[in-house]
Amino acid sequence: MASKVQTIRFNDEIIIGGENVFLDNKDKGEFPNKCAFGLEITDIEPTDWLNSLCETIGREEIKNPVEWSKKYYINYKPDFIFINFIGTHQDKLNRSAEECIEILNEILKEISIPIIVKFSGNFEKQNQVITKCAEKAIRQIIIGSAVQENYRVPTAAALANNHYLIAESPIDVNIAKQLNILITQLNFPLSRIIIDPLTGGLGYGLEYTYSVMERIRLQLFNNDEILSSPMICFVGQETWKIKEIKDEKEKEKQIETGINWEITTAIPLIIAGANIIIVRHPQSLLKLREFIKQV
Amino acid sequence: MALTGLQIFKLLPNKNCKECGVPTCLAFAMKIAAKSVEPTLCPYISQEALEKLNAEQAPPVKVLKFNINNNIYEIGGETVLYRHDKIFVNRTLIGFNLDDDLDDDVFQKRVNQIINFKYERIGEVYYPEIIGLTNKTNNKDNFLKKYKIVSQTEKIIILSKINFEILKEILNIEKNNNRIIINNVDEKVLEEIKEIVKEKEIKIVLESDNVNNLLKLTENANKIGLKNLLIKFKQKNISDLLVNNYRIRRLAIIENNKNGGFPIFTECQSIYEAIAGICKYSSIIILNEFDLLSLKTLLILRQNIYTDPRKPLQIEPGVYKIGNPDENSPLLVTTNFSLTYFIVSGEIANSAFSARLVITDSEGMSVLTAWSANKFNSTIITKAIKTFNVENEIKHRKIIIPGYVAVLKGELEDELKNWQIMVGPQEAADLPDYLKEMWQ
Repeated sequence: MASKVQTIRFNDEIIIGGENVFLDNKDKGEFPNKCAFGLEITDIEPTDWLNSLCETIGREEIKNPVEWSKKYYINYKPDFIFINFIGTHQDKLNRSAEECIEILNEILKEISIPIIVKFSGNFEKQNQVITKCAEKAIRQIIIGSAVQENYRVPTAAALANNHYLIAESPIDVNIAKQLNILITQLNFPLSRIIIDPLTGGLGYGLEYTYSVMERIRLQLFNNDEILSSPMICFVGQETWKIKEIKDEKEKEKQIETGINWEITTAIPLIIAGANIIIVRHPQSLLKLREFIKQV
Repeated sequence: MALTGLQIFKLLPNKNCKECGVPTCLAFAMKIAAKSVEPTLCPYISQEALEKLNAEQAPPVKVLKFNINNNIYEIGGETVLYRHDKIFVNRTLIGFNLDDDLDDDVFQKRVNQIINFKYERIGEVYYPEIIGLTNKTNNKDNFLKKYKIVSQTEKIIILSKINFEILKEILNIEKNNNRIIINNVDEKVLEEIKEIVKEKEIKIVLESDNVNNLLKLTENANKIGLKNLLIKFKQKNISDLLVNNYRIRRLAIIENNKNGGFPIFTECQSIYEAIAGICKYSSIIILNEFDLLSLKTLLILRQNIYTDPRKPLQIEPGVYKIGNPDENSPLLVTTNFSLTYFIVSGEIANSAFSARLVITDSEGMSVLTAWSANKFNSTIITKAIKTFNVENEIKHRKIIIPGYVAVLKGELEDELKNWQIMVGPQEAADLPDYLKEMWQ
């Protein structure tokens, strides 16, 4: 019997993992839960997002992460909201841990779906904020990211306060494995790790991510249990910055290209074994739902 | 599975006559196994052995060739289930289907749009290789009129839902039967057209809704001497497509089932199906929805999936010229992670400048990773500039470093005396604007 991906039950509706085959072999194995989808927001108004994308979100909402996430939650019912705390970076707002936890808890109060957080800045700053948020969050969250060079503090913070942890490796199956070993050696349960294999966008290294994910899954199906964590792909941030989208002159065309690019990046990764996909455009989320209904 | 040298040796006469040019039969067998010589070089090999060798040495998925005015396309020939095991050999060919009930001018316009669709990206031109034509009207004259328009192009042509009458006419008009594929061949149609198809060596698509049936169809077609076969599932949804494609390809590659070893033809109702088909084994994708924007992303996806994964992630350190730089052109530096190189050089190519790009030996790491691992620092950059003799090629003394390592500016100014260190943008995508503004 092939080993299964760890099942994570965030609530009664949002459950990921549990499969022991790829999608293309699902009639020969178990595939109980389909890929889930999340939308990305930022804690401060993003300076490098395209105008056309910002306008879709709403000029007011984009300045207010609480309103922004509420709008997404009500209108699109994503499985996850990913709050990208770019404001913690020293060159941006250098936002303090106290401010972050205030925003986070307000969002956790307002909406009931699982929340993923990541922070910017150097490791020292990230660790400060991670520790605070892990300790003070009013419910369980998903914390990003532990990396090979900085995994101890994020792991300890997530462990002490019963959160999930994202383990990020640079498109490398051996580092993904090594990082899971290191994290579990700190007594962190394998069942609460989510692997981020690092996403290359369509035309910008997608094939590397695609193959690394296939290899991670094949190793698991060959009973290498340490790689049994579900996988998450941050597709949005690898998509909307690319030249092909920026080059489109009309706004509508820009948006259309962006959505197209997001789903053409996301679907191969789902086929390669992704369990969570994070996109930026709500329309991409709806289209991916249309896709997932058919698999 | 290919035979080993020893297995091949047992099929040879073992005379060690050297007439093949190789000292011993065993050495000759090893060369056959490595595919560096043809077994027919042996004058004494038995017919039986030759047939066995040909059958066993052929890739598990049959290769089909198209030759359109010396433009050669191949499909099939695949040997692995996962691209990282070796490589996916022959790319999926992609195109649109057009129905014959379109108004003449709309039809002509679409054909023109297909012909004119060319998209250049990182030194490669992408375009659709195929046009499909579907018989909706059942009006022979109308179909032939549309066919004449399509036959003016240099595309592979797929004929869908046609009958024997139409087929005969088309084979009379078309000068290059090699580029035609007949779609929708089930048991009944096969019976009708098998003679003419065999005689003219036309490629046909055998279709069914399940794998077992399809295996029978290909077996029967093979028995009556039909060789140019493609296979197609009438899928109900994407899951169906993925599961069937995987099953048949697995049969061919892992279980060595010859009846499953044919290129897969996939007709797509949605872009989702097309994406799934490109990832999972479809050799031909025909799109029913005319959407040029999706075509572009599908062609890029195909390029990605069919890239050779054996190529190292690192590129050789050195000075790379982008465009035709002269002694006053910009000089930039970055690491030797191949993705970093591709993206940075791509953006320079998109700018108004020709430039030199210095690639440091940073063990294939990206800029930030290399910097934190101390593999991209002022000493390494300085060393690269000195070793590659950059100073002899340019008049100016200005170098642009990646925005993410702005901290290196001070140290570099110490190490590279008389040089001006310019801090570039963090994202390569901003390079064209940066160069326009900052480079004089």
